[in-house]
Amino acid sequence: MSDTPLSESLATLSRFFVGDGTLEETLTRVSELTVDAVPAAALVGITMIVEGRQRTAVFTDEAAPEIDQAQYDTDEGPCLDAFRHQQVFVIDSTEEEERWPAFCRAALGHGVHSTMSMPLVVDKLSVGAMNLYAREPHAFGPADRDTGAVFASQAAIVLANAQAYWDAYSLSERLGEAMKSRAVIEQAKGMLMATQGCGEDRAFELLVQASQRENVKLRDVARRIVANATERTGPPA
Amino acid sequence: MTAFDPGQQLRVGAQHARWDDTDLWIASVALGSNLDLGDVAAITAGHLDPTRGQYAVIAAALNEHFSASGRNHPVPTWDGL
Repeated sequence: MSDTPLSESLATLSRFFVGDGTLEETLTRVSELTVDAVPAAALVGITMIVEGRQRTAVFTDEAAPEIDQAQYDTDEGPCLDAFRHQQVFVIDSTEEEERWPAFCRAALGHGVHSTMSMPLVVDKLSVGAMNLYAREPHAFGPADRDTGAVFASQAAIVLANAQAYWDAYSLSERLGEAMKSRAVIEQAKGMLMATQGCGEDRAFELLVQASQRENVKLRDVARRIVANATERTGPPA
Repeated sequence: MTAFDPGQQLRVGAQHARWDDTDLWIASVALGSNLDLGDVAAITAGHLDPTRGQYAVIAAALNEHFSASGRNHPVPTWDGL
């Protein structure tokens, strides 16, 4: 493999283990590699859906999210169109471009004269858009577009894997916490079933009634029942 | 007179809590539910009617959440439906 900026960046990308860093660290590294792969790009930002809203999740320069904000405010811009239509959108000159006027004004205000927005697509689903900004007009030629498309296709897989990894990690953490309170509730239910001669559902209803009557959390009622029972019976002989 | 629809109460509760099915499932598991995520999704989608016991634990999960923000157990018990 030749050591072009693209091949070097792709090689680095292929060695990524998404669990080595946080999702944000992974995204930031991907955006930095994009600048290496497409030297015409002075700054890069990645648009993703975060908590139901589009935002520039990571960037290599503070100017990127400020430019992108014009898109989010007006709901119009090349990055949003790249995301929505899964196509590459290039602005050769932000001074002359007639589409997306608010975005072009914001870009010009930050000294950005040309842009390239690429969709990040995995299994036909958009996972985000990568936005490359250049200081010169006509900075992104056909070769840059080809390079960008190849890199974006690989970067999309890394992003999707990172998202999936951290979603699964978060879920396992939350379930771990859930299991901690579940144990004491199960113990309390068992004790109520034994002392009240009732079934599991009725035992749970008794816990709920006590929780609501005393306005304390159900797990705290359960802890008290278990603690009281332990006190009464003492340790095994 | 409103129809007896325990699933509807849970759906509305989850919407008010701004919980998705995963949030609801995890909160229910914490209180002892044996439902899997698919069951919870089926209940909130109206495809599966919860049993009394299933309803009790999901409603309790929602009420625990609401009471933490000062709302006094707005999801009714099964007998209060």
